[in-house]
Amino acid sequence: MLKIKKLTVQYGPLPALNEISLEVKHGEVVSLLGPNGAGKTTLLLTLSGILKTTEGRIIFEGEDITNLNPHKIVSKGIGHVPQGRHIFPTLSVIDNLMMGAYLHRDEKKEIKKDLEWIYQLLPVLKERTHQRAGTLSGGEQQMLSIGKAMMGRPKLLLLDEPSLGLAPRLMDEVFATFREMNRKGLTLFIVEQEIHLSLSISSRGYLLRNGRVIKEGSASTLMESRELMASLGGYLPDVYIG
Amino acid sequence: MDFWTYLPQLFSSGITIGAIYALVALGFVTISRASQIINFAQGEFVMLGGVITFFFLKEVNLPYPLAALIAILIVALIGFVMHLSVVYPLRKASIVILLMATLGASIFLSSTSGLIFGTLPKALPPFSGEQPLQLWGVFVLPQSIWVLLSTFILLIFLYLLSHRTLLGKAMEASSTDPLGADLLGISRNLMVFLAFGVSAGVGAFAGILITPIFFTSYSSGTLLGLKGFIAAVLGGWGKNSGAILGGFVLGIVESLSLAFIPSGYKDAVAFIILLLILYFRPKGILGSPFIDSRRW
Repeated sequence: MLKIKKLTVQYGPLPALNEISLEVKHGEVVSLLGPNGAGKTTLLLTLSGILKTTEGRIIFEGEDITNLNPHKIVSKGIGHVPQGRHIFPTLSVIDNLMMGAYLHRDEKKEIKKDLEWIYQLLPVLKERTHQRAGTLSGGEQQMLSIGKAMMGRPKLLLLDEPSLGLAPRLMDEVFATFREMNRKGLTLFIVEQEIHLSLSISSRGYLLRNGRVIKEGSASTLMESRELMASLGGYLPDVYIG
Repeated sequence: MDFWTYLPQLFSSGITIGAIYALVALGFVTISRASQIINFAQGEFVMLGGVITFFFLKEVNLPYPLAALIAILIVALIGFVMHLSVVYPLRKASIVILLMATLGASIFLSSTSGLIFGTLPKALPPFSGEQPLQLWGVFVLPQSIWVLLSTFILLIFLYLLSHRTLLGKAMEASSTDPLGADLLGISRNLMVFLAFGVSAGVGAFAGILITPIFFTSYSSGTLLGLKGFIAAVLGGWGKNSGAILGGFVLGIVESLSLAFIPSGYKDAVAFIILLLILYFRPKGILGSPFIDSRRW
């Protein structure tokens, strides 16, 4: 579904991503793990067309989407739940969701259906329909951020640290929602610091470090790998990594 | 006449000019909310509104409402063209460079207007009658009532546009969180483009309202623009409500100052207010979303 080939992204003179290659297949949940500053958010922002690449290709469903404008990429079916939520605090919950449906704003009937589904998936949003988004709690804002990305009817959803700032109980709830969304056919690409939670719903994962993929494999192999422990858990010093 | 008897008179003319400042300030705020740019050509939109209406009314002999409508549309078009030719190509440049670019556009617009429409000051006829009405012992020009009424209707229209339509909400979304909006396919560039058209149209509207009261010439945009800018800062930079409040406060204070100081110093009052507000309360009366209150 999504193929990234030797992608390089520069922040000024420094490469933030260095020849990254990875793949997300239809119906999969894939985790992207790595320490802070590894380039995970940079990769997602490049996929969405916010950052531009100098080299490499991004192929989505057989189509080259490298360096397209963000709204073109959204319309191709890639949704993005950014780190830090990025909801619209002055708008009501329902208006936030409607903004998510902005690109197919004329399809009133389908939007209504989507809305019903999202309310069923994230019932807390239904209770808060007319409340200003800025007054929601952190967890509710995270749900709203997911909900508005879902209103764009994505085939692939990019999730940037969805657990950030959530209480452990809420984290479980959010990840249960992801599992449910995936069961309904949505492909997920998750960037996470909560490795265990993220790998528990993933089939595969990639480990990123200093802008390079240093390890890839199935969720279970990654969970036991020394590299993962070294770069996230901090148990092993760098010299032990071969 | 006794000092206290002409205060109400000054107050009423202050409200009239305040309405104009409010509209100009609203133009500034619309663009800065969408793009953080301070558009120094805002005053030129006001001037062009008056001058172009004058051209269609007197030179082409169109009926007044039609001339005004065409002028508003032309100026809105100029706003769009200005975005496409000046702001959009510089979208990756720093804010300071964009600011300089709008200043350049302002000089270009005012001189071009002088070349095309002549440099003589122009006055439009009042919308209806020149005989002042007496209301509660205060003489009011019918044009003042037109100004207030039209401003009020335009504000309601703009409110509905930004709070009741999907496009207005999308503009709001893009101005509060450009990244969040971009990721939903709401293009920031498109929203800034629309903001330029709307602000130019609102500016032209203000220009048409004011030209029957004050003479408008090719060079009068600068001062009006600066007054509108001061009003926007005074009310709270980046807030629509602040722009409206700031406009009226500035208009009234400026007008009341005539009771105490010679009228030649009137313009200085606005700039003294700007200095005072920047020294003591940079976030303005209602507070500004762009200025972190903790710093002050």
